[in-house]
Amino acid sequence: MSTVLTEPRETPDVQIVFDALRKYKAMPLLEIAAVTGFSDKRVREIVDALAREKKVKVANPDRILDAIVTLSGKCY
Amino acid sequence: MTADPINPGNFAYAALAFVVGAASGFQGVHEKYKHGSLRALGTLPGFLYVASRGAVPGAVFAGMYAGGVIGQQLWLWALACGITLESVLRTRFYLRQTGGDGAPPEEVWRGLFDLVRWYQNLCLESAAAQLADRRKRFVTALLGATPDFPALLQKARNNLLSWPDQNVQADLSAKTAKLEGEFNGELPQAATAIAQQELNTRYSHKLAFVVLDALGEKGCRTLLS
Repeated sequence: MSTVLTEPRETPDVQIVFDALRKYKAMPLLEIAAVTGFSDKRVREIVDALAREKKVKVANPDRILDAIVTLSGKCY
Repeated sequence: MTADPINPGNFAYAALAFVVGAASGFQGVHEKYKHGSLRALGTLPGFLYVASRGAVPGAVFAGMYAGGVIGQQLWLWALACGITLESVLRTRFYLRQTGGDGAPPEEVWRGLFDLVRWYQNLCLESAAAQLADRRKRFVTALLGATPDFPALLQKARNNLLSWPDQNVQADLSAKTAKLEGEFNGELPQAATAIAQQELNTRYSHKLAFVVLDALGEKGCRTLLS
């Protein structure tokens, strides 16, 4: 996605996604969007930024219904 | 130390060492999952992690007994195996201090604990992914292959009226209204039947996840079935 977040954890939206992931450790991408109230696109941007920093891993990234985001164990 | 003849029944003392190791492993799971630790333990990676943490001291005890290294006070040796091995596995050594140029100093420690932590992360990440996949499959099974978001939303609203907790009612009403607004905003862009079905499916899943997060599986079934 287009937005590049260089300091993800300092962005409030990112912190909200991070907090949701801390609760569940791994979530379907749509579940993150549902519980945070962010749009799918915004969640994807945040998740992509976190993935670049190796804070999360994304399984099935190309299928939005199946995409699962897993928080890195180092960030628990 | 006297080497008594090996009695196969004495290998049962390895269970004590196993319990100490497994308890330490479970403590690591609980530290990260809190109330969800039993759910994490119910996954294959979570179970294997705790079992393997118990198996190591159990195997060390069994090896020492089979090799004739220990022969008496076996219950004490079993406990000692579990506790000592756990202490060794948690050992870290100070290597150096990094930092400088205005950066705060940071001490670098390395040891077997790093290996344990890596293994723990590997297993627990895998357990978390399985739990997430389980929630996704629950929602997919609940909604079916071609869910209709407006119909599902109406059903949820009807059922929500009889929900006993007013706070839950208010919270879910606000969240479902937001989802409905977003759905209606995207609907004009879904020109084809396939795009409309994709939109319906995506928003139905989001609605189910909102309810699942608030009420759990049982509440989700009650509200959306």
